[in-house]
Amino acid sequence: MSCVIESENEALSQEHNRENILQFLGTLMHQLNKYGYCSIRMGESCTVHLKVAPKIYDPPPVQDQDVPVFLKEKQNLKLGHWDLTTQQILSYIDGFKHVAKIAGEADVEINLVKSCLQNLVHYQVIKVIPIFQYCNVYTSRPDIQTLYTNKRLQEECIKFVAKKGSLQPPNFRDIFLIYCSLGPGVTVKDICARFNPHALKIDERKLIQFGLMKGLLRRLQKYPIKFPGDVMTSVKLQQLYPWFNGRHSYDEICSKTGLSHQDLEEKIETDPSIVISWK
Amino acid sequence: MTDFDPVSILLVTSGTRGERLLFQYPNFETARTHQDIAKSKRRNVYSVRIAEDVVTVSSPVSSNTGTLSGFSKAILANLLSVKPALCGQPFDLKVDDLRFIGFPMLLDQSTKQQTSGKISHQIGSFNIVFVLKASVDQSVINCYFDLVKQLTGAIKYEESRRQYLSAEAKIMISIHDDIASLPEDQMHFPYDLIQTKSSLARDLRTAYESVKDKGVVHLYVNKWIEVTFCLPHKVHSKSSAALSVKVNPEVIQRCIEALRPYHGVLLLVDGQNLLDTLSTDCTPALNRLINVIIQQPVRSLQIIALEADLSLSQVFQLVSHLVYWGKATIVYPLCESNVYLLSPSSNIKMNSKIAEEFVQLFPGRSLAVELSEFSYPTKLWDTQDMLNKQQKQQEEKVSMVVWLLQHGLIHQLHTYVFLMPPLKSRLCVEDRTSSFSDVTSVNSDESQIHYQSPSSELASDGSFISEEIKGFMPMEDTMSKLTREEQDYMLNLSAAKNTDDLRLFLRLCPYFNGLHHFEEIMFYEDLTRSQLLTLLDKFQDVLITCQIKKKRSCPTMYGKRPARNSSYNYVQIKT
Repeated sequence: MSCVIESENEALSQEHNRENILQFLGTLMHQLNKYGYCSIRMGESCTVHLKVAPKIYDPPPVQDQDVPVFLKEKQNLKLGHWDLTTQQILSYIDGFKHVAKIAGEADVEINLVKSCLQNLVHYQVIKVIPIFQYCNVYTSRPDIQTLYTNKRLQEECIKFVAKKGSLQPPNFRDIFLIYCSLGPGVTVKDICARFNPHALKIDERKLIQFGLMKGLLRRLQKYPIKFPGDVMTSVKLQQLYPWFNGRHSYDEICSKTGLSHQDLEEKIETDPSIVISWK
Repeated sequence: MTDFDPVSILLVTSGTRGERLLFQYPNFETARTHQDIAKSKRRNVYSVRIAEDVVTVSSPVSSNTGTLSGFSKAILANLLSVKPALCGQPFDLKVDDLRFIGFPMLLDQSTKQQTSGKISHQIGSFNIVFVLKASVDQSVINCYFDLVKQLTGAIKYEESRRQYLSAEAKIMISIHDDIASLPEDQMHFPYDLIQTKSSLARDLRTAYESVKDKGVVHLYVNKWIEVTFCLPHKVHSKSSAALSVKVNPEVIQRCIEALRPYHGVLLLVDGQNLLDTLSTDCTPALNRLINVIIQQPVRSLQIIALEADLSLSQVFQLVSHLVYWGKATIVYPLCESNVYLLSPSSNIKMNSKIAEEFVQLFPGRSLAVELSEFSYPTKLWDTQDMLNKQQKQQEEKVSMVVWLLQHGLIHQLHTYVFLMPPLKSRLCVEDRTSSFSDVTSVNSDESQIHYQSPSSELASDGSFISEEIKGFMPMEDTMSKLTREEQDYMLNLSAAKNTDDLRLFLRLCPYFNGLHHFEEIMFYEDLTRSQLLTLLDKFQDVLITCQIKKKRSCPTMYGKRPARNSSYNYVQIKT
């Protein structure tokens, strides 16, 4: 670059250009520090474009049991923007289907789906959230306070969680009350029994989805831990013991072993040497 | 090796005989063989190296080993010994993926010439340099500047006192020369030998190793000048037994700013041990404070201040100091109504090191079982526990909770209150500007009505009072953000008929925005828990409570006492 400028303007060799150089360096530093990039015109045909590349980290890998959710309106997405595989997947993302199901329905190899989704996470088109189940436990995060003060978020929330087909929007107080009632030891099933969200014109699945997307809620995962101790149990359960070391959540064990949540729950309940931690 | 660990420490001098790299630790030349194998994972072998400018020469750094092996001694010496103009200020140089942090110092030539004029080689300036990875945060770099400045300052002082640096440099140079003069096949690297001979080299090694191991440096340069330093990034990521949590000093700083008199302090290290390791010339106030904390663990800072006979602000400063150094953490004082929950970042793996530690302290118990108890919000003392368990068991439970808190495995839940009357029509918080004008207009109307016709329009006494209060409604407070409809609703509540209750409720209204937890409201308004609970119970129709973790990184969560509008203090209630 400096060679070009030199040959064109004699920037360095000419005495009177010294000041320009100083000014150039000054602007360069200032703009790079302030904006992270700069475009400075140097003479007739030369413009100096510089950019400090930000450090980009890969988003965490997508798991089989994760559910992708759009962060923007689906209609606003330009389909042609993406590669063919991603285009194929996009239409199957509805905020409820998990990765394995999407892979099955779209007839795309699951690892491809995962990497496509990871790419979409990077571009902040989607966010992955844990799969919805009525036995799930969620707890509100301190950010719930923002929902109380931020009017725009409230309106967005009301619009999002409204039950399909109901004419009147739900009452915000009801929504907020349900969010605040979520906590350790309370499953979504319990909440439904207590508040009957359908009567309140609230779609509970959307409610949870919105909370997770905006970081108002956090899912509490269940971790079984096996203790050394001789308990006569079925061979099938003993095969599962390696999973019960406190590293693997129910979701993970289910998706890796192909067991259903209920099966696993029943099996574990028979064994008193297994304790369960929620976190 | 984490990102903020130093790669190496160097000592460079420049003087009448040119620049020299006197000391380097660790010794990369010997370590290179196995480090190369361990770290030779290339990002992508096939990646195209973008052709650089024609004039750029290929860089000498072997950039992906994370070591200094690509630099020759001469290059390092040349790079790091700076011109006098740059001395006395931070030195920061980045070469590829390494960053050199130093604080070059000019030695005072005039004094030297008087005392040691005969010595042929004179050191003009020296530079102690920490080599870091280039990717580290600016805040880490600033911390290293601190350390390097302290070391440099100490050495400079010792040089002026007893020519410490000159003497040490002489030792190092002679070893370098001896080894250089050996025949080639016997040549080995001089730095190990230097460490055995030179105390300065040993000090530098200690500084490097203790930063790398513990994040805390405490040493005496030349057995005389004390150097103490703490790298908070390292200290705090170590102190939590939880899974890796990234902590930077800004967060700690904000936590410290959020200190309140009702907070308690929990030592993370053994108190007696801490007292012993304190520097000899530290303030006696710190000693006193730690003694009080040892005797009465987890009291509120207010009580600690009284016991230690220190001012509250002094206690705040000392405690902040302890927190910064990773010696203590801030908790809410233990009391029976505290609710704890398993922390999401806690390590519940079987057979981990921390589990063994737990078993040693509490024989016959298992960490995983105890932690699973905290899967649900657990009170420090359940009422059932009070009846069933022996005193001893209760004490054990308390000490267990303390241990779990110290290791960051559980955290406390606080109850926050939101004001939200059940009305269909609107959202709870109005636009500030519109509500403000609304209320002022309401106010003026109301007062006019009131003063013009004191009682003619108002039938019952109760509603009269309500109207009166509305006239003095605080404008900036939470109540004022409600519509008139909502205000009416609240004032028509059956609980609002009792003027004392209503008065208290209005007084507490500014706290009901989800920023202030029970304990804070109790402290600021001087209420007991039962008083507060009764009030909330009476007004439960318009309130929503939520039990959540205190937001650590946001100081407002701890909440400053809400600023009261002056008008608010003069709510008048006629009876």
